[in-house]
Order: sequence, then structure tokens, then C-alpha cells
Amino acid sequence: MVRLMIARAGQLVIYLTCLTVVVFGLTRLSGDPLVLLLPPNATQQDYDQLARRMGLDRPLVEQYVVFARDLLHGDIGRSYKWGVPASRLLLERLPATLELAAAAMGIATVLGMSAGVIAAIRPDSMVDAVFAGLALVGQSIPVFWLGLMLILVFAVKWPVLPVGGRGGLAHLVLPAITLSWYSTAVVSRVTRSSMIDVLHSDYVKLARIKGVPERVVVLRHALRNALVPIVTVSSLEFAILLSGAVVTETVFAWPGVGSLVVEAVLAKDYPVIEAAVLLVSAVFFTVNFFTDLLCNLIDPRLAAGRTP
Amino acid sequence: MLARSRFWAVWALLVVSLLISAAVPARVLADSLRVAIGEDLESTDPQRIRGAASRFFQVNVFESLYRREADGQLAPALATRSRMSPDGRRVEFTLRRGVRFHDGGPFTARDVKFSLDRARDPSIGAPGAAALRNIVAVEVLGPYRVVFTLGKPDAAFLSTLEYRLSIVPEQYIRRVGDDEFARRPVGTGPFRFISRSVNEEVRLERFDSYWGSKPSFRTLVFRIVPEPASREALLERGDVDIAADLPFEDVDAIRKNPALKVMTLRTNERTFIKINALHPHSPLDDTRVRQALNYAIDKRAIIDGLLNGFAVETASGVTQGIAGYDPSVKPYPYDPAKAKTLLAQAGFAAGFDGGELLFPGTDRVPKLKDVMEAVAAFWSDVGVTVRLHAVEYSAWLAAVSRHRAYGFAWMVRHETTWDPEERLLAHDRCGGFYSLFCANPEMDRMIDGAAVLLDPRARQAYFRRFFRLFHDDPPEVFLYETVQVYGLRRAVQWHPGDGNVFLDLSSARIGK
Repeated sequence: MVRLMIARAGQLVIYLTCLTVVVFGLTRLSGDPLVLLLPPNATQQDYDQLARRMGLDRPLVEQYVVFARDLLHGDIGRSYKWGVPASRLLLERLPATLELAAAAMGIATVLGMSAGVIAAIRPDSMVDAVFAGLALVGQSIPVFWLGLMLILVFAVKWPVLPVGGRGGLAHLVLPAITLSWYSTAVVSRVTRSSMIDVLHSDYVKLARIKGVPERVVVLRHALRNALVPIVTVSSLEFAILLSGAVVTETVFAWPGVGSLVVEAVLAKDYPVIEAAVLLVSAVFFTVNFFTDLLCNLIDPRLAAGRTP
Repeated sequence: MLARSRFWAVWALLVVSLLISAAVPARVLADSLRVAIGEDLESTDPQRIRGAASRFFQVNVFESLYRREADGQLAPALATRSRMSPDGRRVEFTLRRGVRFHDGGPFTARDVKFSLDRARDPSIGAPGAAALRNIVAVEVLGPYRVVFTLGKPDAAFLSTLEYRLSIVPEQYIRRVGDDEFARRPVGTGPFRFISRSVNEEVRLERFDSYWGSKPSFRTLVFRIVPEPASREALLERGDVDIAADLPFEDVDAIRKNPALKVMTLRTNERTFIKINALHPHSPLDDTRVRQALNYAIDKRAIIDGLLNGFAVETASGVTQGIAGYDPSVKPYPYDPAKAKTLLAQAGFAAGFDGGELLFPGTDRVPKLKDVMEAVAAFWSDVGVTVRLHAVEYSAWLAAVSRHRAYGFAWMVRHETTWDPEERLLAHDRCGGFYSLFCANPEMDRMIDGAAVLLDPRARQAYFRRFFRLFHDDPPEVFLYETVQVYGLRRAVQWHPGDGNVFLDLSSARIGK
């Protein structure tokens, strides 16, 4: 376990270094933050002055060195647009995003796994076909449209839930359902195929022959062994939910990280973009790390370095 | 089985509690006005605000020496009187007495000087600084008298001050510092700042010691809702009283709802196509070609077909209500035959390749792509071909402001100071920001001559002459002035007047 953690920490450093270079380069490929910041009647003198003040007049390599040095000191810079530290902007919004992603993930795991297990017990049955259809719909419906339809039905026509904004539990329901829609479909599909594989294995057959009740066979013998791919996919989905809830956040006026990042990209707000990418990468990395740990717990053969 | 029934019990409990918590109506205060807007403000420091989207905060919490009335006229605000010297280089203001900032501090001439110095301090980086550069000195003559000395005479000076110089409290800022001021901003306006949560809401409250007519309601809440359809849903549900900046398609739904109404405002914001005529031997150097490009476009069809009628055709470089607007100058009619004749006379009977039509491919401008496609199609009907080129917003802005080579570019121009002069001088001269056009030296001569005209009547006549020339020898392809759509609860009475698109809500009333 300790070795795993040290190895991962080493990887993290290399990975983040490469990442900063890529992000730094990509954000500077097109557009110019200065023209967005200056009023149209600014002179060349204003332009040069602002460039100097923000350090954007120096060569790119030098800018990168300054950026990396400040980053090591824990300072990612101030947002050009908002004038406050970029890290503070992101951290202020992180709880909202975490809350939404966690709720969506909760829905996706519970619904997705239940549907997957039920479908796997009777493959090619009517129920399976219905779930397959639902999953297809779930993966194809645009999140944007789904969110607006939910608002229309549950907030305007039949006003039981709020339209948007962040507040109590009621505010969370529609955005969480919207956000979980796609992931639920993915989780249910993975659960189904993984379960079918396991249900055909010899030890499940043996358990049935021994007369173990079907419920125990499915939930304890089969599901537990089918968990590794489900956990892997689910956590990947979770990381995606955390970083990619832009559309849902926009539709429901949810004050999360996603909408901030889009604004930052449009405004060429380099420090915010860089901070966001680093944060999202850190989230991915952390989630992956815990997924590995979890998989090791579920399947001890993984920790021993053997393939299942 | 027991486990299963317990599961359903918990589930039912959860659903019921959710429904109850949602069904209990949010505390409705008859004394509050709630407005859904699309974009949050960048800063609560009025001198750090750049975009027009943030101005809703400025106009409700802060004031300038002058303000814009519903009819577009300037009216005294923190100044009661101004006197310009005959040479136009000295402007003396008499300030309003008895005005207090929201923290209780008095407003005096020192605050005016402080506000100007702060607006021009490079470490504040106020975006309006460039426009205030013409002021060479400010002298405090007494607690309520202040004199500005200008480098060049400037007939539009009061308009510039109205838009560019928010008055901030000297004593308060010196005491608490710039950062604390941005956290708890203090102005003289009809509303005082209460709280703000980024990308969620901005909460203001009536300032009871306001010098002017006080708002009729206590609380003013701006909710930030980026998605227009969600803003409309909030309005339909009664969660907000006003939804700003609605898409044209939603208007019918609001009109059908007996509890709601629609309000539209002209914006003083002109959409047009900028022409790059800077290349030597460009076909666009020829007046007849530029006229032909104007005749070739059916503006009515674009407005009715794509914008649901929510735009006003423009005839020249100025919109209604702004100095130089002349109703007798009519928009170019749609006349493809005339366009072809003009092109033939200019030697392009077979048309020509017009190069690129550059525009930002973002969705912040509704229907932009459709409009650009229509323009290209109308032009190709008369033989002028352009390639549509959509780029990222900042790339478009960089391209047009740095005069990179292209044939045409979409442009938008908001006459924020209600006066053509500031922009004409900086942008419409040969090679300026909006102009890639040097074919008519008479136009540049007239732009230079405008600033010294101090008599308003003479100035109006002069600008009318200028914008007739602007129409006859078009340096751009005129399209339309945009219209802003608001949805209101029927009980809300509010009409700030055409052009006042910054959500000044001090005059709003909430009925039964």
C-alpha cells in the first residue's frame, strides 16, 4: 500500500509538470486577453502598459518560469477578469460542484447497478430489453434538453421543485437527476455485462448446485466479483461529473466550477483556466488513486499483483 | 421481505419530505423586487467594472455628476449645475448639498477629485481611464465647487462623465482600503449594497437617506441565471418579477401567460459589417461597390425571419436618440437590381471575390451565425462571394482590433455615452478600431472638426451632415439596432426608456 502511494506521488509530480506546460501552451495559442480587458478606445500605450503590468510582454518561456515559480509558492495568480486570486474563485465554487456530483453519482450508482443486476439475471428478457432501451435513451438525450424538460414539467407546469439556484435538498433534485442521467445508463450497462460474465462462471454454478438461495448467489457471490469494472467505470464517471457539469450548471444556475471555467475560457482568463485544469487533474488523480485502493480491497488478488 | 418494506418506507418518507419542502412557498415579500439576469458582475468596485453586463450594479448603487433620464437627456445628479468656459476648456460644477454616502459620510468636492484620481490610477486599472485622459487638472474650489480643466475642448464632456466616472467615497476608501471597499462597496445611489454570492445573487436594499426620489420597495435582488430558458421558467413560476435578456422565441409564451407581460427596449447598439478597404486597389475603395453591398441585403427579411422582428433597421452610423440622428435619412432599401447596376458601373459586372466574413462563433450574440449566412447569401445573389469564418470571441476581437487582413467582419457598437463623438474620434477615423476605411478624407476632416463645436444646436446640425455623408458614402454595411426583450410580472411597472438597458430599477413599482 505504501509503495503504491509513493509510486503514485512520483507519477503525480511528473504528470502535473507536463500538464502545466500543456495548459500554459494551449491557453496562449489563440486570442489575446489584453484586447478583451481593454476598452476599444485604448491606445497602444495602454496596451503596452497593461501587458507590462501583467507580465505578458515577456517571452513565453520566461512567463512559464514565473508561472511555475509562483505555483510552487502556492500562488496561481489573480484572475484577470475578476481581480481576485484564481484559487479562491475555484475553491469557493468547489463545494457546490462536489455536492451536485456526489448526488448525481449516488443516483447513478443506485439506479444503474440495480437496473444492471436485474437485467443480468434475465438476459434477453423483456425487462432486459426495456432497460437496454432506457439506457440507449439515457445516453442519447442531450443533457441540455433534459434539464429544460424537467424544469418545464416539475417546476413550471407542476411546480413542486425549484427552477434553479442552490439551496436546500429540493434545489438539488432536478440538477442531480439531469446530471446523473448519462452516468446511470453507463453504470447499468457495465453492471449488466460484468454480471453476466460472472453469473456464467463455475463458482456461481457451484453455489447454485449447493442450493444457496438465488438472492445470496446474485448479491454476494456474483455482484461482489463483478464489482471491479463497475467501480472503475463509476469512479471515472464521477471524475467526469465533477469536471464536466457545465451544461447542467448553466441550465440550473448552479454556481459550480464548470460554468466558471467556461467563462474563463471565453475571457482568456489564463490564471483561472490554469488553476481549474490543475484542480480537475488533481481530482482525477485522487479519484483514480482511491479507485485503485478500493479495487484492491474488493479483489485482494490485485494487491498481490496477480490478474484476476 | 422486511428489508424491502423498510426500504420503501424510507423512500416514501424522502419523497414526501422533499415535496413538502418544495411546496412551502419561498418567503414572498411584497416589498422586494427580484430580477433574473444572465451574467454576474466582475467586481463590486465600480471603477474596476469593464463589461456592460456589470453595469446593473453601478447604476443602482453609484452615481455620477450627471445621469441619463428615461428620454435619453442628461440631468443633474450629484452636480446641480455646470458652466463651461467659452473656449470649452474649463468646466465648473456646483455640487448637490446634503448628499450622503451609504456609510453616512458626506459627499463633497474632495470625493469628486478623489474619484477621478482613482479612476486614472494605473494600479486600479479602470477601463474608463483612457476616456478621461483629456482632463488635465481638477481643482477643488470649495466643498461644493469643483473645476475640471481639459486639454482639448470637449462638447461631449458631460456625457463622458456620466458614463465613465462613478463617484466613490474618499474617506471610506482611505480608511478601509481598496479590497475592503470592493467587499463592502459604498456609493450615493438609491440602493445600498447588502451582500453578494458569486454567480448566485446580488442583494441590494433601498437607501433611506437617498437625496432623490426613493425607490418604492425595500429589497432588490438580482439572481444570476445564465440560461435564458431557465430565466423564463423562473418568471413563469413567479420566482422572479423581471427576467432580462430573453430570447426572441420565448416572447409568445410570455404573451400568452395572463400573469406576465413583455417589455422591449431599443439598445443604442448597432450591428453592422465592417469593410476592409485598406488594401490598395480593393474593389471596396469604390463608393458604388459599398452602396451596392448595402442595396443587396434585405434587412427586413433578416429582422422578420431570423430575429422575430426584434431589431430596427439602421440607415447610418447612428441610432435614434443620439446626436446626429436624422429621420429623413432612410435605410438602404433592398434592391438587388440596383446593386447589380452599381457593381457593373464600377467595373464588376461579374461580381468579385470579397474574401472573408469574420465573426465570433459564440452563442453570446443570438442568431449571429444565421444572420451572417443570410448576408453572404444576399451578396452572392449579386455576384459578391464571401467565405464565412467563425472564430472564438477573443480571436475575433484581436483580429478586428489589430487590423489583420480580411474582407469583412461582423461588428457591434454600443453607444454607451449617447454621444457619437468619443467613438468617432477614436474609432471611425481612417484606420480606427471600427474603420478600415480611408477612401473619404472629408469624413476624417469632419470628425476632427466636431470636437470644437460647443453649441448643442450647431453640433446637432453638424453631426446630421456627417451621418448623411456616412450614409451616402457608406464605410460599412448597415444592418440593424438590436432590441432587448424583458419579461415582467404584470404587477410590475417599469419602463426605463429606450437605450437605458442597464437595469436601473429605482423607478420600478410593484402593484397588486
